[in-house]
Amino acid sequence: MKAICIVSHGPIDCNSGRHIAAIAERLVKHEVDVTVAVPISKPNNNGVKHSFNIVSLDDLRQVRNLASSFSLMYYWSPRKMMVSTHNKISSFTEKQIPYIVHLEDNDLEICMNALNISNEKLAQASVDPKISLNIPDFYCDPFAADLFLSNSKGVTALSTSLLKAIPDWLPRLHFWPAFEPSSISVYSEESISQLRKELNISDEDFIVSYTGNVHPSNVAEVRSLYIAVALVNRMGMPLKLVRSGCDHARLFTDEEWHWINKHVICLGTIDLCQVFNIQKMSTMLVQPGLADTWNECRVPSKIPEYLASGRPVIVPKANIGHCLSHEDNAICLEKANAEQIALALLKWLPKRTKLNQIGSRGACFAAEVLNWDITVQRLLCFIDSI
Amino acid sequence: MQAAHGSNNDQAYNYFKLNKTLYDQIISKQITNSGDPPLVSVIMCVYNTPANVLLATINSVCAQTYTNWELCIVDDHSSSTATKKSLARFKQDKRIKIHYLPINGGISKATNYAIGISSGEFIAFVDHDDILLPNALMQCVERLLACSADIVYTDQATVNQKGKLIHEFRKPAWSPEYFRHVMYVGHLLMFRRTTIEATGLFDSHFDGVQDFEYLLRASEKTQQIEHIPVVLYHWRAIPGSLALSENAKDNISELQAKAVQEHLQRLGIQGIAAPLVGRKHRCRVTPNLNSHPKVSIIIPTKDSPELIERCLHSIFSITTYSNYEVVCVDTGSTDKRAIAILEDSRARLISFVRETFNFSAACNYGADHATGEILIFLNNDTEIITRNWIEELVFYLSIRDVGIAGPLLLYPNDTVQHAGIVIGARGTADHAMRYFPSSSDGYAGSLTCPREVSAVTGACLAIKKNVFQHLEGFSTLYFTHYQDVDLCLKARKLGMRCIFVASARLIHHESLTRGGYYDYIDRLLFIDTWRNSIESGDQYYNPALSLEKIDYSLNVQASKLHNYRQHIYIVIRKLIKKLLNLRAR
Repeated sequence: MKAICIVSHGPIDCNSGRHIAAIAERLVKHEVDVTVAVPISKPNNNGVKHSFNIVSLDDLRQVRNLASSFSLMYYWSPRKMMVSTHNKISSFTEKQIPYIVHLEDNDLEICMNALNISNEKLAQASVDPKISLNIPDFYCDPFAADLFLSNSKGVTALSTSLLKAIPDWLPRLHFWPAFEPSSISVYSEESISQLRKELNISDEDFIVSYTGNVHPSNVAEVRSLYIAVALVNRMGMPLKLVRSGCDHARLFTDEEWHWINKHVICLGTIDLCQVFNIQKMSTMLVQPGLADTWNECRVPSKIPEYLASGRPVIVPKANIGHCLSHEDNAICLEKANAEQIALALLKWLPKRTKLNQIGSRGACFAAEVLNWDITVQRLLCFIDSI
Repeated sequence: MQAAHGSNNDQAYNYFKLNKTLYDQIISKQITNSGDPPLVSVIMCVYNTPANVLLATINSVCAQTYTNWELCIVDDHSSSTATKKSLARFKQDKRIKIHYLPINGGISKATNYAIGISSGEFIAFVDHDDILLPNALMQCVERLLACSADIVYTDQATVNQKGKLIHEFRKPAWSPEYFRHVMYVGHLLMFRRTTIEATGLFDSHFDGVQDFEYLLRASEKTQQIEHIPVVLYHWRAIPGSLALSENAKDNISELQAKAVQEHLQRLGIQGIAAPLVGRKHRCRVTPNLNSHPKVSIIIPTKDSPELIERCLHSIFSITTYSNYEVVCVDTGSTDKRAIAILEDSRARLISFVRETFNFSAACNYGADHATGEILIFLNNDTEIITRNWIEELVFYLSIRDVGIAGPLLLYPNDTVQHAGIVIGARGTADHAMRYFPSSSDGYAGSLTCPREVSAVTGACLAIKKNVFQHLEGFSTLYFTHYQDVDLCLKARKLGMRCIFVASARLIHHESLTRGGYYDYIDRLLFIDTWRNSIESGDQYYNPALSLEKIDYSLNVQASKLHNYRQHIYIVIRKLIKKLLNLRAR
């Protein structure tokens, strides 16, 4: 029987943790012994019952019997904490435990932006060992990551663009993140009507929503959506933006906010079931962002939920946008910036019938392609092949 | 046009492929820091060079951090024994080839001879009185490799004989139009050998401006010309040098104009080059158009009878171009006098009244009704100064890859209102050299000569109609501001150049019609759309220059570096002096 340890960089209830949990649950159904290691002292603090084991990263690094019991390590990202965990385990296990690595983000760019490391400095560091980058554990040391990936047995990735980061000869598997069907609750039209009334949204208003937090890595994108909503209203089309989640980065200055806020309803943090109600209430759902290297290397976790909701979705032609069909199961923009989002909204919002068709087809796409059961079957074949 | 050098290590640095620019930089650094980096031939011609000057130059090459170079010195039959003695000091250095020509043939012949004895994959041309900074060759090679470029040039600083920095010249990215009028590129030039082979040799007929003429020819073969916005050499102001006096060499302006004229002829550009009167080392290209395409001048206007009357009167009474029409787009005039002026004038009048004023939509409507091949969008608060303003704009638009052109706009007090727009200025975009006197040369000819810019103002913007239609006109999402900059940046994304045309002048009574209103939604839209361009900086406005003042003064960081460099240069001079004294012993 296989015994796999999936090493997470965050708790089980973060976005990545939810992906890991979905995979782990299904691996267990395939009779794989799965343990998930998380970097906190009380690993299962949320009280949810899982069919897989959860241990702390500290235990994994220190308890010899624990690490030695696994036939495969599955590191979720090439961050420094993963590399140091692997090195630690390697130092005390008799045999080298093979490992695979999962790429879910452009950790190189995240590290450079967060630590303000320029291209020039990194390039110079490649030839001058005296340059110290001082990268904390939570981020990716690109030089260590390069070696870590090359020495793995294989790599999985959420985006095909991420697979450029590994040598050609290394086995690889790409899969999209999926949505958990049990999390999509059942709606009623009555509850949606009631919600519109509570939020003081008239029947004539169109609605777009953004249900997620804002942090430094996505603040520019979310700004684009706010600006697009202001533009659409300025062109004479009544449109409301319903926003939930927290802002961990500032979207607008006070002066700018004065021009933008008229058409925004901010709800703050709300329950998950309310999130789905808001998505269902929306005329369209928008994932802003450019079709650039950054977005090619990531898949925002709300896109599978958006598609599964059955509402028509606007996405950039990046990552999963390449697999969607423009004007068929989604609206795919060359760039989902304020200008292009506004023009798309102005064009599509009045076309209710067509939008409903697009939304339905988007939900079918989600059910067929963004499916954890199928993904895990492919993952098992991949693991067997390496 | 490039030769491959070595090969990348395919097993390493794959992770960095997530950032292509970074990856290319790493690979170029790996190559330049490897045991077998590409050979650079540094070419230098000397003729009676003062000993201290020559020694300092040669020692600056010897002090390079880049290790694989050869220095090819050709003495063009110097009569000075001091020069010969200085050269003789280096005869044991295997990296330095010194050849003495039996007769004086001039700098081009000497340079060609030096190219003939060189063997490097890259060739760097250095003047006999320049001082290279220690990292000069390294940075040039890295740039050529990382950007797959064929030619690279750098910023420069002029120093006096005592080593004091006089001023820095911070250059724009490769600007072919600016280069035709101002010899701005300077001395430290590094080429791929394959580019030299494609271009041919230096031409003796242009001795004195031979490097300028050579680069004109090279630019006809390749546009892969990169600029490093770092001061990598010092140009010494010594007797006989143009750095000390622009009169130091005879005949420069005439030779410059001759070089440009032949260059224009080779390219089929319909202009006549001549020295710019009243300015040293500036060329003036006068339009010599074979054809006169129809021009539509589109003026959105509402009321303001004094403004529109003055504007129309100046167009009809001053303009010499024969093939044009004026289309006035009335956006809702109610003033009787304004209506009468519009109805009585020779302009075609069309009405465009909407509930909310949208300048973009009004301009687009005018364009739809225009019959010209070239459109000129003009504010009603302008007046023509230059009679052949349309000829000047049409000339630049006749160049294949020029999409947009804009003139010099002056305030009524004869100071600059618009001389090109800098992206990133004050967080968005703003006019350069505002309030400069109109008689000023600007920064190295940037006010007297045409040059590439990121954008021009919509107050007077000339564009080829087919380009305008391809771009679908001005974006109507902008109601008041920035639609002009947005249009220009979109044209540039298509590979079109925007040209500031200094020789076409108008008066602009700026924002009389709009007052002090500022639309923040337009601002937010502009920043959102062009965030990457704003962050990466305006390629035609050196990153060392102040974006707050936009007057070509150094920004704070560059000023501090300037002062630091002053100090370092003095230290380096003392070290070189010590080294020379040791060698003498």
